[in-house]
Amino acid sequence: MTGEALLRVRQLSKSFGGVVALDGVDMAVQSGSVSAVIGPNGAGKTTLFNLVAGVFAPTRGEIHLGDRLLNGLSPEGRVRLGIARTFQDVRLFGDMTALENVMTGRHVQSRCGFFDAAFRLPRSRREEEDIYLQAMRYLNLVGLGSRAQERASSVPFGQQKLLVIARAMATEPKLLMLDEPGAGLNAVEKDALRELIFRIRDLGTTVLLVEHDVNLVMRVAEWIVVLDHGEKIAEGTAREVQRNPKVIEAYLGQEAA
Amino acid sequence: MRRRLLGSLKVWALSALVVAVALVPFVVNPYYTSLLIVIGIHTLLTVGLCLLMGYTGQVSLGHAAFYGTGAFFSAILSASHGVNPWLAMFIAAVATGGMAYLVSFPIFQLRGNYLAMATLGFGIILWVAFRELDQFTGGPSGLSGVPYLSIGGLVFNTDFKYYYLVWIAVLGILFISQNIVNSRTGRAMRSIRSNEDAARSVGIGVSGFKVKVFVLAAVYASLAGSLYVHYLTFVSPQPFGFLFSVRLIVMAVVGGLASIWGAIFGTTAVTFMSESLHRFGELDIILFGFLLMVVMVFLPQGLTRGLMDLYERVRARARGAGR
Amino acid sequence: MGTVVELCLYGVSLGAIYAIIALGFTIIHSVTRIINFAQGEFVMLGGMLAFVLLSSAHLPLAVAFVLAVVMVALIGLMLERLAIRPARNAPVVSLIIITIGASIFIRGIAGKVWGKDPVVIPAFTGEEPVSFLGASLNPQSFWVLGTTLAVMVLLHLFFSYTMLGKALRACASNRKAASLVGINVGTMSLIAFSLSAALGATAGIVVAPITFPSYSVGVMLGLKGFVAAALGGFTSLVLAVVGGLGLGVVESLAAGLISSAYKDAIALAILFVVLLVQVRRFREVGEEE
Repeated sequence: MTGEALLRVRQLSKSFGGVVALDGVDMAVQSGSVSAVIGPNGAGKTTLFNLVAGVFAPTRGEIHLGDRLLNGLSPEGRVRLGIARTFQDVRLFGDMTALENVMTGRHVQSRCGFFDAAFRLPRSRREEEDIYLQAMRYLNLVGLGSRAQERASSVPFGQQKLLVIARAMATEPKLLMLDEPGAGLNAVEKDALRELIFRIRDLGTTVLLVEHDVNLVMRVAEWIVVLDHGEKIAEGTAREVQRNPKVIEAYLGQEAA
Repeated sequence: MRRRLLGSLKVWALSALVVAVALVPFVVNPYYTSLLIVIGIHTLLTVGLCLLMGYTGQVSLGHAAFYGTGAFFSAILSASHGVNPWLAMFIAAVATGGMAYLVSFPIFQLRGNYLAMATLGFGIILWVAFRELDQFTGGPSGLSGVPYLSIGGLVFNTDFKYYYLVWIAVLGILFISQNIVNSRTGRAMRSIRSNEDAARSVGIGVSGFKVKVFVLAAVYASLAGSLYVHYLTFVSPQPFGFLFSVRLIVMAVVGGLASIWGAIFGTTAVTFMSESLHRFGELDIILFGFLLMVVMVFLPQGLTRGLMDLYERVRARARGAGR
Repeated sequence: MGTVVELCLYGVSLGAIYAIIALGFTIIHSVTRIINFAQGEFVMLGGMLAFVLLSSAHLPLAVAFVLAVVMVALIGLMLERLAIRPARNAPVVSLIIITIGASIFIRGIAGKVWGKDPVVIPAFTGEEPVSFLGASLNPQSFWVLGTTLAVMVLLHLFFSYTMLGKALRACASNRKAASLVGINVGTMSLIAFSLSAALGATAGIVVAPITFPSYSVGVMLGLKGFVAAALGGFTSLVLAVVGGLGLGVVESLAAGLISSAYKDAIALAILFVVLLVQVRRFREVGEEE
């Protein structure tokens, strides 16, 4: 493994009332890598994501980005630090165009406020121009440049999933967290997704994904963490994880995604 | 870079509007001039609501309260304390904005429905204050002797002159608001209305925006209140109650919650409807209630947006644009 | 209105009304997630319709009571079917506005039909003040308290022991799961509205001899019922009742000891503060959905 740990999670636990969703998970994501968290249904993968993204607070444990402790920081604050995430259920801004969706991603990289906008000051116009160009760049990165002016809700589902990735990338994150990016995609689309993830990594962004499709994960991730019933049961490279008896047992009876 | 505002239809419509507004006092009978002054002042209120409700998806049921604070601050400062009316207007706006800021911190922690009632309660509290703090406000009978606005030697003491003063302000505020909507800030606002959690996930400070837009709408309302007071040279608590807040919502809804220029249309339409119904007693309340229900059920984007959408759909089909 | 005891007792009977209204809010919200701004108008309609049935149709009290409640329940049903159902997938803002529209629509028509003056409904058992705990009370207050208690008992039985009641609770707890087990969510919504309307009407009728309803009483009553329901998070029936009673007492004490002009505002302001303390709970609930 190369690079130092960008994201470190220590003894992370979360309970909802009486239900323990995550229990004492330790994990490190290397800078510049593509890592994945897998596990059967209910293993706690999305809970882990939500904790790192700041949607709710952990019951126990710490999360570090670089040497910065994230506990207590709001989701917006974490985006500004360089963590971007996508949602399992897409959550586009449906009534805005595809381009506008990506432009919202540029929000944290720009500064002009009410006053500048209200009077159309030159610096506001220059910044708009820049936002437009950068957004188009990210839209093209995912291959949706031709759909820029289309209403986001009219974009076909498979491409909506790419659109949210473009929007998240526009925030220029250090760490991009993808929540089930392959869900609902066909084989061709999954290949395109794989290529996109590699392109993103080559741009210098660290990628962490949660994914059900084990095949997809095996072909894209350098490091895999396996959760089951809220605990980490294994981690390693794709080959190591595939052969780990605990992992096989956890998936026995689960249908291959 | 293409911007929707620069679509040629919009430019034509806008120019036509400005010309029409400029010509009105010369063409119509004085009754309409004074009616249009009131419409102009109400439009300032409606635009603020459109920004708040239509773009950030928040609800304000007590907006009349800010109209009232603008009016009373202006009146009290200029009539009872001899402050220059323009300065008083500025102070009123700052004070109203400050109050909105202090109030919105706690309120915007509440979501959806709770927020609506909180603003309703706030509006009622202020309305009671206007009535009861009679050593300042003149109580239910009001305060008179408010001076006219003037610039140099030009005193705004006739309907004719006041019409232009108001409508220059209105067009200016609409222009500013449209600029805000078309900017990075406007996109952030629209994203909040569309999906708050997704907006947070791209780093937009949702609560901060809600507060800022609430304050902005309050400042617009304060300006409207000041203009109102210097027109009538008199103020009483009567117009600033819940019913007026509802009327503003009707105007915003009819014009289209997410449409800045629709605010003019909504305000005008509702005012004219209300005027013509006056003959039949107070049917306007019934009409408002009915309108609110019908528009929100069938045309949730209001009449102007509904028409604009229709136009764009027709155009897209003509161009054969793919889906 | 003198002693603290009298004020408290009066406050409790006032609060009982707020409690019933709060129950209406809570039932609709937990089943449909909507806040029904027209709830206060159901209360008003109860009182007004009872007046019409008593004075114009000369019906006996019990008949008029039941008939008025049924009529208002039907109005609630119509509201749900005609205005809420068609827009059920709309965002919260739209639904809020629709219920506001309904509330002023109903109020406007009431104003037109019955005029602005308050109506007089005779007290159920006469006007002689009754002595209780050293205070002098209007006998109607006992009717108010008694009715509130009866309502609460009936609701408890309904929700705990009838199929319909359990179905409503299931819907309140988890809509998707409820529909998956075959509960018709649309019908539940309809029933929630009708039931809440009936509750509102009941409150309106039983308190009418004390407060002399007019076409505009709905707003403040609705608002206060709302605050009480909010104290229960719009999900807890018990807390809604406690909230209502508490609000009634606070308001009565404030009006009697400080100033009746500010009575509405004081009660609101105090409850504002309490609401804010609750803010944390509301926020977290929202985020975990």
